[in-house]
Amino acid sequence: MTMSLYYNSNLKIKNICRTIEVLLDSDFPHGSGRKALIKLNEVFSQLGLKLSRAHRLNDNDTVQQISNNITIKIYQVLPILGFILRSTNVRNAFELVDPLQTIADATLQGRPELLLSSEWDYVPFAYPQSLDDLKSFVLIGLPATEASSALLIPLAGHELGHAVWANRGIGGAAHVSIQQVCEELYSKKPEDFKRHFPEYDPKDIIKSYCQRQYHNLLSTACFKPRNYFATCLPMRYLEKHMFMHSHTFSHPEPGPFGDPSIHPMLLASLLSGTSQRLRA
Amino acid sequence: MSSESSDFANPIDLSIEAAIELEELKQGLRPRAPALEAFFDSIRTPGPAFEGKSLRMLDDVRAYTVFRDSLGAGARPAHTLKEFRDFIETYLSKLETGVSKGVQKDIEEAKRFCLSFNTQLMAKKMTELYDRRERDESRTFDHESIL
Repeated sequence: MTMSLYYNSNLKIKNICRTIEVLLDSDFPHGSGRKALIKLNEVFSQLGLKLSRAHRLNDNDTVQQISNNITIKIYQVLPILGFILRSTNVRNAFELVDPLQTIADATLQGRPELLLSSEWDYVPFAYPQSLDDLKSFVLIGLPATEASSALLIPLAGHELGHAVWANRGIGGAAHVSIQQVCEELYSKKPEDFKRHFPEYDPKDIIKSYCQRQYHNLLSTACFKPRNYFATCLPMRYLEKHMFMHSHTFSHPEPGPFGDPSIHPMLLASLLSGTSQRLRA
Repeated sequence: MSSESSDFANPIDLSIEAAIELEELKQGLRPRAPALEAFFDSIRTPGPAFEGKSLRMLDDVRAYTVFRDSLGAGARPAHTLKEFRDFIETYLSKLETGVSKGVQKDIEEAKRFCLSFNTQLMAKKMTELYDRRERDESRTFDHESIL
């Protein structure tokens, strides 16, 4: 079984690398698409090497695990390959790439490579959240169904806000404060806390933390500031440059600890830091 | 057979590399497993963040299920977050010491932990992927009600 798994996974690696090589033959209007493909090709080659090493060691458990990794990685990467291919389409708004690259350079750490492409999904996406292999790339997909709307331009800025969130590790930093607030609130007002999160049990805190209710608290607390941050970032930039107001702007809904959000001070500090950089 | 640990920074790749190196160590093909140290460092060290340091994996409550499920039979019920964190830190230090001394039992346990941790992280990634592709509104949309 492991033998067939090894050959099967090797075949998968060869096939995905061949697909990437075919895509590399395309004409790229900007270098970032080609760079991303080369990076992904390298990732799969490395996985192939690991698989061969584990196979030579006759280590069935590791072969199995690497095979799982390969399957999941292909599942993660395939839509991105399509995205990169679509980024070469002449229907894309290439004139947006340079201004967006300027904003990305101003707001992200390092040297971000911007890839602008189209989506056949109503809601636009920024990809880097789930792909560790393309950390230095910002992939922004604009919904093709909305191509006639000029408001797609500020929407691209909104997507960039998501990339900033991920790139600067704001989620992690915000999480520390949120965690502290949760513990503080629980110790001060356990009854209120329990009313919102009835499954919370301080005697078995690990189990409680895994409960859906508490997870909802964290995702709500993290998502709201992220949404706020993502929508405010293009707003500030666009206001400065006298473009148009983003139609994506919305105020966060009341959080579990009151209106308007769990951490207005935290949000203010995050936003002021970024706007200072943009002003500079 | 050279260590590839320096090429990878994320715990998913590091855990796999560590598992391979531990197997090589077990079979006497290498004197030590540097990828294991790099993997444990990635768990213990906070990543870069906006104006300061981010959360280290050990302090992140979102990672507790990953740790708990990776421990397997070695898991011990904990009453507080701190207690659980201390337990994990002791567990990792014990494994590191055992592996550096070449204790077979610890090498095997460390390898099991690496593979198990990798499984949990991949499962988490898949959940994120599904969450992104199948958003809330698409799940609650009832096509029959439209007809």
